[in-house]
Amino acid sequence: MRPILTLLSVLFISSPAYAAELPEMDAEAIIAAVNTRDDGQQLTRKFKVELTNRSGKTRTEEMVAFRRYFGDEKRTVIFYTEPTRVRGTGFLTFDYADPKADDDQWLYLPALRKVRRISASDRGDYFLGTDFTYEEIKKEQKVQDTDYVFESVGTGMLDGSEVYIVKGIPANDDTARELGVSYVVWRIDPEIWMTRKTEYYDRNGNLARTITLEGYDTIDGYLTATKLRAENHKTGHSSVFTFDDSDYETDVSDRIFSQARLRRGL
Amino acid sequence: MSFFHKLIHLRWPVIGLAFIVIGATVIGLPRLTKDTTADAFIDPDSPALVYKAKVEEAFGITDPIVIALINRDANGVFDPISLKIIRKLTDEVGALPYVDPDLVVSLATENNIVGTNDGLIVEGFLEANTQGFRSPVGTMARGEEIRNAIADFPLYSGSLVAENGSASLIVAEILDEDRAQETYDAVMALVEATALPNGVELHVAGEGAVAGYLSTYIDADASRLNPLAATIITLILILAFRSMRAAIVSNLIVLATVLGSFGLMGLSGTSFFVITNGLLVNLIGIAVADSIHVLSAFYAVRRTAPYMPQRDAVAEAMRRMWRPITLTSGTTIAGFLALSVSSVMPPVSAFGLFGAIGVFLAWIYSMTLLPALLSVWPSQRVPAIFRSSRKADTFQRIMQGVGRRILSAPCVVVGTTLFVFVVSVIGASQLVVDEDRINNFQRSEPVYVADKAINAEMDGIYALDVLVEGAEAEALYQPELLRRIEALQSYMETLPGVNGTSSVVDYVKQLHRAVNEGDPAFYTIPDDPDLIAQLFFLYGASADPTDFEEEVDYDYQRALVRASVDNGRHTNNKVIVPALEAYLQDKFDSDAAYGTATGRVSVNYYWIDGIERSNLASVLLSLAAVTLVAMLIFRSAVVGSLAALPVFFAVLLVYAIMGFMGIPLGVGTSMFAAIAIGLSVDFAVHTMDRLREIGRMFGLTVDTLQAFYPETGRALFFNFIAVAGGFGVLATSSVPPLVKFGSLVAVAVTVAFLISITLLPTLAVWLKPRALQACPITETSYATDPHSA
Repeated sequence: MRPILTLLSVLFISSPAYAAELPEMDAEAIIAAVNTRDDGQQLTRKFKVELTNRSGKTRTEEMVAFRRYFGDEKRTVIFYTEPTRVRGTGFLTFDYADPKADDDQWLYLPALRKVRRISASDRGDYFLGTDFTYEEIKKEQKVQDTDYVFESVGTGMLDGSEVYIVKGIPANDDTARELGVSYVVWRIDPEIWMTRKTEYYDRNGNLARTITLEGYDTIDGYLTATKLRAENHKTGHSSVFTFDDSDYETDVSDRIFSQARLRRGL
Repeated sequence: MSFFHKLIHLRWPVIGLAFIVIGATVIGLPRLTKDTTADAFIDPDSPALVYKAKVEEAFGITDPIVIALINRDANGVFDPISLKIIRKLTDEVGALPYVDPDLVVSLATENNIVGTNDGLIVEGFLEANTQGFRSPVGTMARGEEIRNAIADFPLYSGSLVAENGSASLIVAEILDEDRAQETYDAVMALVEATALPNGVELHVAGEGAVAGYLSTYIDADASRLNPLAATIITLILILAFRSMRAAIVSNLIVLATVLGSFGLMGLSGTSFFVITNGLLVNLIGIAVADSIHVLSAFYAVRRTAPYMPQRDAVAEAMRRMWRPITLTSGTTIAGFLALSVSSVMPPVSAFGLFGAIGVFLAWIYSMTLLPALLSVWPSQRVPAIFRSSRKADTFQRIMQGVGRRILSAPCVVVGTTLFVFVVSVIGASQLVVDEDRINNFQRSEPVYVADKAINAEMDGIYALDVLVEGAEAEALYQPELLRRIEALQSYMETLPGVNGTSSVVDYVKQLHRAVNEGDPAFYTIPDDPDLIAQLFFLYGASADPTDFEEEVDYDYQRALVRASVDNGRHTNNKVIVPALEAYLQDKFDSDAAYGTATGRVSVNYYWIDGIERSNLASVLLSLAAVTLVAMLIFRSAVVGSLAALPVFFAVLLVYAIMGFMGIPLGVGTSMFAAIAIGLSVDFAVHTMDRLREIGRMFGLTVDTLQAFYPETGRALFFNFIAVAGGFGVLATSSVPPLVKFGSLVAVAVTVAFLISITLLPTLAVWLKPRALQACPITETSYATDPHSA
């Protein structure tokens, strides 16, 4: 009986008829649905970053982050708590809604006792030495819809969930160069309207990175990613972000997003 | 019935069996794999190679392909057109398959890190929207800004852009090193397709490019010339014997030997190295010599006994030749095995081993297949020159004349030999050990021009590395260790050929200065370990996660210090590597900081040093083995020593000519002596064997030894002409190593031939060694009047 069941289940799961149970949606509508997810006005959370190189060596960093929207502008401040030698290092960012406008960034190095303004990073640059790019961190699982021309590739199964598969090709050469990709494939779970797996292909069309949503939760009514993994297939380096103690309720003072506060620390 | 009668009786089974064996060994041919890397020459367990692999693993470094743009105008590479070309090529090279677009480094990819009054700017030199650079991309003013920025950035000056601004590099790491050749070709195509204004040059070089290209370059020429050599040898065989039978049968023996040896090489999993081309030459020379001697004896028999049945004539020829051929094979095998055992380099060891196997196969085939084929050959025709009715042919007459003169002027022979000996010793004493892979290319080859041009303008593309290991993780946060590394870099910069160094310390100093408003006074190592840790963090935060991987490992415990050397010459390497090692022994030999020299330069040093140390010992051992075997087979120390003389002179002359002509002893040229031994010992043993035969029957006098020349002397002459002529063809090659190879092989066999026909008979008459004459022979010998031949 069991082999028959297995056979049936294989046929059933891999059958297009089954996958087609998801209502057809065009790619733009899927991306629009992803982008409508509410992030909350403010957020306080801890996060842990585990970086692993190709020989399997691991480094761990821990930080506390505050984020708040000021209209369309998003301000973020991150304070490092681990490792000890960088404890107190702070990173303040003002992200402007206009993708063409350069963000403002400041860094505080406690051993130097100085706040330094640092030049805006390219959107495709890696975020604080991790395998995530600034763009991915800034968009928090959403997609800048003006960057790509989207195409629906169909539907599929991923870890037991039905997903929409959407492919995006950079809208122009400048964007392709800035983001360092030739195309991106998102696997979007319509249950949560979050991308469960995103594959980035480099400018030669080789699979460069994969970002996987490994945990999520509804916290204070907001759907929140709690664990994300980014793997760089060319360097063998990977980064895992684990978010804890996410809190959308407690007020985040606007004064925390200042150079003076950066200097003072947590 | 003698052994050879029995063998000829079973000729068809013998031929069938031989072809089965040949077929079985040929199965191994497709399994042969090429390994033309420089690293193949080093024992895989050698510390230098182990460390290089460790460094490559830890720091993710491969041998790259380097493109240089050179513009010697006043604006140098900073003029807008040059910068545009750099940007265009960077994009195009990044788009090539097998090139990692994220690991292409050039002015178009690198960031300028500069301190301002309130902060820090990290931005691309050729980026469009910049805060630090005010002028738009594509203007002269932007070029000037970049020039000033580079001048203020010691890490890039000299390594990414020439100090005088005349050159700039695009460095591409290859994803799959086995694709180096394809990648080089693709890069060359891009470069050739780029329109260049007057005064701008593009060059492509780098170890990644050289390795692949070298093998193709040599193979292409060898595959053109080896068939030419085979054709010439065949023509000489036809000339010697005026018989297609001789040419075809000899070529079959050569083919069987070569296919067998290389097939076994494939079956054993041994790679085909660059120098294995030389083994091919050696085996052809040895196999053809065996055939020439058997055929000479065969026709000599037909000449003296024209009515003897063909099969009996073959058996008789074999009866006469099995002994000298077995003896030459034994001595040659001894020489090859000694080379195999004594060499420290795996390709040379393989050369010795498969040389010995090849000689053995040539012997087996000459003893079995050759007589079987001769006995089944349909034609009974005896070439006109060997018919008894005819007088001696031209070559016999020439050799007879030569013989008369030689034997009548012993003082001239010995005096000339002594003179040659003295001159050769002087020449050989001038021999130097050196190797620079780039010299394997003709001076007009793009890769040669590129190497010289880039090394003249930049710090150098040859890497001498030091792996510095701290006691524990985060050791590199300690200012004390960083200062020691700084001192190490200063020391390395004093070494000849070293024009610049880089390490993580340079980044720390640059960042320290940048976070202090760009004040040059802060281009120092901070005193606070926390600040160092935070500067590392700052760098990490502004770069790719693996960007730093080439300078420091993940735990901040190990750092790579890299010096750029502007030449790859061993004569330079053997100064700087031991000097650096002595420094490391002195300053970096504790648990707190342990330093090891590594990198391409260090590996090459050990590789060539191995040749320097082992070559002489290896050649001497090989010579000694040959002499010892000759002594054993002739059961006489004197005769054995005499037999070693042609070999000794061949080797000495090869070294002397190399010394006089300034040809250094290097990887390829170190093989010449071994090849000389392999080819020249045949002349000596055939000569001594024939001298003994004559001596035993008729005594050793000027008169009796005249008989040596018409048959054996003639055979040796054609043996010499075939090998020297065949491989002298290589001297017309366009590849410098093959030219040297061909000429020196020709020199070696010429010397061996000349010494064999002049000095050996002269000394035999003078010394009258007992082993050459005494003895009542028990064999029912083929006794003819020596003058009848």
